[in-house]
Order: sequence, then C-alpha cells, then structure tokens
Amino acid sequence: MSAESNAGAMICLAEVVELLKEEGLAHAGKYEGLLAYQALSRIKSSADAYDVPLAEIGLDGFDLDALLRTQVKSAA
Amino acid sequence: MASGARGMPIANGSAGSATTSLRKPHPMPHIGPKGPTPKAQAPKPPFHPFCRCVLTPRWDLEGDGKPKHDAERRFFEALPAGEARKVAGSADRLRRILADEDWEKVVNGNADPLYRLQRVRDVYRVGTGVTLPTVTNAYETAKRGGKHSGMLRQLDRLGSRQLEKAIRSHQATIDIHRQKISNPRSIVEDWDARSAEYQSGLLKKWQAEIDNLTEQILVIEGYINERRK
Repeated sequence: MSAESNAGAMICLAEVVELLKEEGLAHAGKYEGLLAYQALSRIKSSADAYDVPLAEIGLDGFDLDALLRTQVKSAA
Repeated sequence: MASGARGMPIANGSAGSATTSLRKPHPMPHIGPKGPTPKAQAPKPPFHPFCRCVLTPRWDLEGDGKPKHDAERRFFEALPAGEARKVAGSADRLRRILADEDWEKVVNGNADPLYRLQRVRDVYRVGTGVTLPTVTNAYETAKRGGKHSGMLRQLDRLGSRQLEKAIRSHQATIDIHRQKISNPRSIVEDWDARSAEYQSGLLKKWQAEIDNLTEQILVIEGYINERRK
C-alpha cells in the first residue's frame, strides 16, 4: 500500500470515527448509543494494538466511557 | 498435566487462579492442581456436580504441548479423599480412576451422549450458535475469507515484534473489559437506575468485545505459528 493510500485509509477511518462520536454523543447513556460506543471501543483497541496515533483518527483525549453517562458535559 | 506451546491459549481451572467463583472452585481433572492444559483438550465446564470451574486463557506460559497421560490420576491422588470422591462422582469411580482405568470412560460411564464429557473445541456458545473460538477455527475461518480475513491479510505487513505487541495490547483490553463486566458501577455510576435493556445491552457489548479480541489474538497466534513453519 502506498503512502497515499495509507493516508486515504486514515481519512476513511477518521470520518467513521467522527460519525460514531456524533452518534454516541447524541445518544449518550441510552441503549441507542451502545453500538457507537462499541464500535469506537473496537477502533481504539485496534489503534492501541497497532500503534495507530489516536490523534490522527480523532480519538485522542476522547473519553469513550463518557458515552455511557447520561449527562455528557464534554467527552471530546 | 498437559502444557501448551508458547503463546498457545491455555485453559486454566485451577483453584487459586484468577477465576470468578461463588464457591471454592475445584481444579478440573486433566488440568491438575498446577493449572494449564491446551485449550482444545480442556474439558468443558461444568465438569462435576456443583462445578463452577471457569476457563481462563494463559498467554504467559510455555510448554511442549504434549499431554501427560497420568495427569488425571495424579490429580485425584493429590486431592483430599473426600474431595476426590466428590469430584470423581462416587467412591467406586474414584477407585477405578486410581487403579489407572481410563478416567474419561469412568466419568462418561453409560451416560447419554448429551451428558458425556465434552472438550472445549467441540462446543458452541449456548444460545448464540457461535463456535467458541479456538486456534484452529478462528485462524482457519480467517484464512477461508471469513471473519477477520481482512485483518489477516494485513498481518503480512507487520513484524513479529508488532504482532506480539498487538497480542499483549488485546489481552490488556480484554482484562479491562472483564473488570467492567465484573463491576459495571465503576463505569456507569447510576447503573442500578438504568433499564434492564440497557444493562443487558452494555454487558453484551463488553462481552462481544472480549470475544472479538480473543478471536483476533487466536488469528494472530495462528498466523505466527504458520509463519514459523
């Protein structure tokens, strides 16, 4: 895979992360938000395992467990 | 006692291991009081009356992977007599096992096939239809283009050190998810106020992540083992 397609893959991932964050925050603490929470958890654990910088995919400093609270002040 | 090859997932049902149990767990025969056995050969709990044995992967052990055929007899010999009788099921069964009869035949007796001893490799997760992940089926499934095949295709691009690191990282995440399942209130403060649907849903999500990460580890392990050949 070329550097360009690598960058493309990171953009794809970052876009999905953005969507999931929006969805998770919109339904924080609700059953409807659990899939976004699970998906973000999986992305984060994969990123940790394979040394993908969280900042590059929009997860740096993002508190995933905040999506489980009913009152989300600032998850990001 | 049988040991697993390096990095091979290993079941452990021994007393004193990091198991969850509401009562004193019995070590499982075939595993022995010291612990490990290759997962595929491990008996599927429940193994004996009142059994609360659980299986726990052990990534930190090394071994030759060869079963030791007198492990079960030695295990029973090491138990206090009363305990050994309970685990065996009866005094007669215990006597036969200690006389070196095939312990599996003794345990199974004339039981209906439904109630005979099963190995972990043989069983399905009840209620989901999902096969309990094993080294063979998780890796083979990925190789056949099934679940985790996308990940498997990428593993060629990673070095051994990165793969080992990924396994450790996944294992650490599994441990975190386990802690969350055992104490959800540490994450969700108003857990008791949440609906049953939410509670059940979240617990399932955490368990699903544990299962997924376990499968990923098994795929990586399978890949590493094959690359070594």
